[in-house]
Amino acid sequence: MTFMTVKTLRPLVCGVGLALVLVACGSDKSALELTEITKRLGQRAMNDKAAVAASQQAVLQVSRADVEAAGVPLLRVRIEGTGAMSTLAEVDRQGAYSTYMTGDGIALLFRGGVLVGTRGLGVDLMGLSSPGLAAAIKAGKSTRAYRYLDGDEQLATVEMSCLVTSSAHGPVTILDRSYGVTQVKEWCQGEALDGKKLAFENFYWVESGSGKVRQSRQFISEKFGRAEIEVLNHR
Amino acid sequence: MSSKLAIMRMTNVLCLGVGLSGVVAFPALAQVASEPSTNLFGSSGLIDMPSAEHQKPGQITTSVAGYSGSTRTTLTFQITPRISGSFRYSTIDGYNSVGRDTRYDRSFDIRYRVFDESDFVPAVTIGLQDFAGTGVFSGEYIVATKTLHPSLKATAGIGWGRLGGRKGYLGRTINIGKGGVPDAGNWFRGPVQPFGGLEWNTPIEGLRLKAEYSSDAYAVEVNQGVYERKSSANFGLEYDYNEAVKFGAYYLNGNQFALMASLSFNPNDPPAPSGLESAPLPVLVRKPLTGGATRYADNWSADPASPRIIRGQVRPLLEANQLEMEGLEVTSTSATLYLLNKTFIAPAEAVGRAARALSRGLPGSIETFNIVLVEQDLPVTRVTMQRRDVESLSYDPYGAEKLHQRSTIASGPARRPEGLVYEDGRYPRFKWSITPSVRSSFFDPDAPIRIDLGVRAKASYTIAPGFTLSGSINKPLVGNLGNIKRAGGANPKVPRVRSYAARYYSEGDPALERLTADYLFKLHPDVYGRISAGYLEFMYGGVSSEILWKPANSKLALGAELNYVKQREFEQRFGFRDYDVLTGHVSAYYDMDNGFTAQLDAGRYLAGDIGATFGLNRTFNNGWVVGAFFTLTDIPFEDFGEGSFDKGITLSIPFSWGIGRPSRNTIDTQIRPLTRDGGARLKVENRLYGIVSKADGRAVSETFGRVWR
Repeated sequence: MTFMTVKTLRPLVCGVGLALVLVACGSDKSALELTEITKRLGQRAMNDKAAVAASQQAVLQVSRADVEAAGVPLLRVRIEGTGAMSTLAEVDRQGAYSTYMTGDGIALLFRGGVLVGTRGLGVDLMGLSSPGLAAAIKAGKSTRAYRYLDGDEQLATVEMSCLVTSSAHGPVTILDRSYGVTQVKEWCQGEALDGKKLAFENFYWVESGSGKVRQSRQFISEKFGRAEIEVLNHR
Repeated sequence: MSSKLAIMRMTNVLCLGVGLSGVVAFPALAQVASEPSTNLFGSSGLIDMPSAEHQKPGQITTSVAGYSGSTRTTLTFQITPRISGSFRYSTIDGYNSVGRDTRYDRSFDIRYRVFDESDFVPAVTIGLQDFAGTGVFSGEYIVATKTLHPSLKATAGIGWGRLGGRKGYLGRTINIGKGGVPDAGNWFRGPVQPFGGLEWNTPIEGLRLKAEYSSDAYAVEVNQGVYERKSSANFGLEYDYNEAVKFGAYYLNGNQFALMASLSFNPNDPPAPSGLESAPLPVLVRKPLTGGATRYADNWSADPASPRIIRGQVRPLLEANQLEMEGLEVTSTSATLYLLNKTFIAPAEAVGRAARALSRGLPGSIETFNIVLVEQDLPVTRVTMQRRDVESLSYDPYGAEKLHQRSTIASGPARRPEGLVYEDGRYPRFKWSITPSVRSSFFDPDAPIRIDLGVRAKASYTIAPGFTLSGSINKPLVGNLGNIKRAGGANPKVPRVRSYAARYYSEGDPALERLTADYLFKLHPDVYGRISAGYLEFMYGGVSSEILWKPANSKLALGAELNYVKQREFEQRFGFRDYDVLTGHVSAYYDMDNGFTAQLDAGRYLAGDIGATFGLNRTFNNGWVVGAFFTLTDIPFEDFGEGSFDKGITLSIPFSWGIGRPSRNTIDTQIRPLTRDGGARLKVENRLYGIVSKADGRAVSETFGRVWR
């Protein structure tokens, strides 16, 4: 990643504005920040498209052997809205709760197999109030409150009413391993923060016997759509 | 060796994916929902005529319109859902005014929506155009707009002044060379004319057609022979490139073409509302107590080496969050962290990240976290939270609200404890920088923009907490600030305290902009003080002192400032000119709950004039500030000169809003249509309210939604 940054930044340096800010130097970090920001913006602009392709390529090359060697629980996640993919490692576990993080500090928060938060995406899901998966299946319906930061730093809540059904499903295969699963579908309707109608479907593929969510597709935000999540570890 | 390999392999797996969000396009300006279109005056409207529509609250619209060799550049702000205001800078080609070929004119508008649109009732707005300028564009109107069909809107109104103009007759006088005073005697007086029109959103997305019957007779322009008006009908075609960028082309009055481009955005709609900064490491929950123990072991506290070891554990955890500490004090059951936040605009985000770092770095027996926000060496606010709350609420969907409720937010201490060990390199500390410099002046009477580019070297040496020596030298390289023509001095009754600006800009090469000793301190948890001495700003040197009362959670703050200053020589080295003055103010600041902050400063200004400055700011929690101010002093309007009294607009744009990366830096602009000698204040740095209000208890509470970000 580092070499990519350097390479893509080079053509930008000829820009007059950049050339001007790049001459800044000193020990006072706040005075130098404009230089840093201009560099980052340049990186973003140059990297974005190539980065999607590179991320997909790289993530898909992770093998079962890599997963075993890593020694910590890993997820593979694809964001529907952008196509970006990443591998995430577990960095925290407290009872049913857990946090997984990418190498560059984007975190996904879970309760059981249910995605209850994101950090560092840009339009983060700050929290999710929902019944557990088992309770929702039993009731056949659920109410879910999605919480986001608005532009004025206030937490706003999007309430969704969902119908929950479970049905038989063929096995799912993750990194050469096959799991017998039940498909749980959660069909949610509600009103987005701007008052427009919002609807989406979450899917959970729950391993028969262990009750573990092996694979899922869960809503994050309108901007990012759903996260496609695969649990890479066997155990 | 093998563990290093394992880490490498681990890193490989994780680095294979770039950040999940890394790739999403954040089109900074495409997020805004489409708002009503604007007219050639930059306000909601048809072509030359206004409509009754309003933008959504907070919306900022900038537009440039050109017609017949003339231009109108307008900044419009939707102040509240019902009130909007505009500042406009216009050039009128060939318009004869005080011997110039081109008239440069500044004007202000204000509009109030009386009725909202409903099924049977149109929206109704009453507006004052150019109500406090020279009056070239002055006119008043009452206008109604109704949506007849989702794609068709009709507008009808009546206008006075310019909007009620009959051929060759404006019906009121224009005050070129003076202006600036609301001319209430003229409002809604004189001839009245109707106007109206239609706006059709065509089936082609983004394409809009407009037609209007205009009541603007262009009376003065026609009389001066710089505009020809053959018809009252105007036609327009507009295209929305996206929700933020719009273009328009128009055929005016039977023989003129006009073009317009506008750019709008809303501080409430950042491209990335929650920011793109990395997630911090999660809270580390302590292992449950075992073997019947009721408390965590605290035998570490007997070891004198422990505080140093603990600081060593906490330091890198803070640094990973781009935070620093001034010091950390621990007892067996509590810790007080003096936190330096140079990164996050929302103080609560810094607090939340510090709490997570403490949960990972402190021994288990420490139950209470005190996090003191230190701003410019001042311990402004102390947030006290229980460790068990930090541990139990990080995954809670309502965790931010619950943690806020269970935390205590109070003023920081007046004095740090005796034994506090400061971090290495904190006191004393030396900082320096050499950066490009940009100095600018907008919308003066002769040129819309004046800019000087140069190089600025700054250095500061902080000897003890709050006590700093600092200086700044600027070397201008290119620019035209030195060409400013200011007519000050025409009236011998008003000393030239600001109107020598051009000489300062052109003769200060290089200029010692600032060389001061500053001492910032607290007298009491709620009372702050400042003493500054030296070359305080580029035009004045002397002594400045200030005191501020601001309890942590109080809406009201009171302050007083007293300065004795002498005017500096134009070349800005060490010499002074023969003018000195005792100047100072008492100030009241009131933070209303709706995002507005009012400020009143009353006292003696640089020219010895006595009066008051009234300011109103819309402050957004994400760092945006949009404000306006005016100053009235005992200098009569006719002695003040063009503009009649000092007034202006302030704008502060946070870097982080646009790029999503955390940063406390902002771009600050003050648009002052005319800088003159009356109502001028000293530009001393480190005024206390600006420092304290960014991290006080209210700022922490208002941004608490970010505590778990």
